[in-house]
Amino acid sequence: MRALLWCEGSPHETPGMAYANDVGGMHGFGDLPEEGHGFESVWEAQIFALNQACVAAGVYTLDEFRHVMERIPPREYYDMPYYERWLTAVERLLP
Amino acid sequence: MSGSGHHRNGELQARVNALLALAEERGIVTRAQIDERIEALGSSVSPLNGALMVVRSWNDPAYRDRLLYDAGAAATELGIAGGGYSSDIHLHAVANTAEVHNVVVCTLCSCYPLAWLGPPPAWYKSEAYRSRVVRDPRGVLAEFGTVLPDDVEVRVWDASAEARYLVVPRPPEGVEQLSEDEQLDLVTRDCLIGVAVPRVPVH
Repeated sequence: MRALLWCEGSPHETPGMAYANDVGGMHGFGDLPEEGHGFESVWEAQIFALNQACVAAGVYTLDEFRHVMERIPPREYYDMPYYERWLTAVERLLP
Repeated sequence: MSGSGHHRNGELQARVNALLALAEERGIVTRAQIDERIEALGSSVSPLNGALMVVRSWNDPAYRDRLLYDAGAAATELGIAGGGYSSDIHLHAVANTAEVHNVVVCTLCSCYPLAWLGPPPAWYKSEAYRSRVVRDPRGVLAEFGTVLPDDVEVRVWDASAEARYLVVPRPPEGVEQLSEDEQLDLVTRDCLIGVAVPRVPVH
């Protein structure tokens, strides 16, 4: 259950990227962004709450949601703002 | 790199509106229930929940034991619900000691103990943090102003959909002179993620 990913003294290598979301250890993503609010627009909070509600209602599982989001092709994935990835996943799961 | 998307807000809002209408039509959730969830995210779901658990653990060794054994039950004990998604999410508390410092990430997406900390900050969701904190945790921590002695081991916990982590910081020196409310102010969101440590302000 517990996933201790990295500790000093353990051998670690930069892993290969299986999907666009799998960024642990990757280089080249630049600086940390400025502190921002949790949600910058109404639609972001709405898609967040809608996804919560769909999982709570058993429409799909959190794992299904993640899986669909992780299968967005890398080029599209990185062109999307964060919560558009969520929106895209819910669009594929809900209809 | 993901941008803010502000210039496409109209289009994105329209797509969300279509989904909200569909969800209501199917009887999954009403607009009013969506608004209630958003309201909760802005008020009752905040880092204060995690801070309450940490401060209780500083002042009550038996609670600390229960927190480290089963953090979800220890949260419920204080009336903090596990809320939001489902009972599949398990909270684990990882305690800092004189020898070990813990920090949390989700390398695969942005899994976060939202029910206990509120919505995650932008940097937690960024590829920059997620890629780098597992490779150079000391460097990332230093950017947050947290410079650890070389003899303190750093442990990086990778959260998943099912397992969420809450860092239990050590009580800072002089904390016993503070009231419980003052102690709560020291335990910030960043302390609970592990990129900061609580400090007693110098008067």
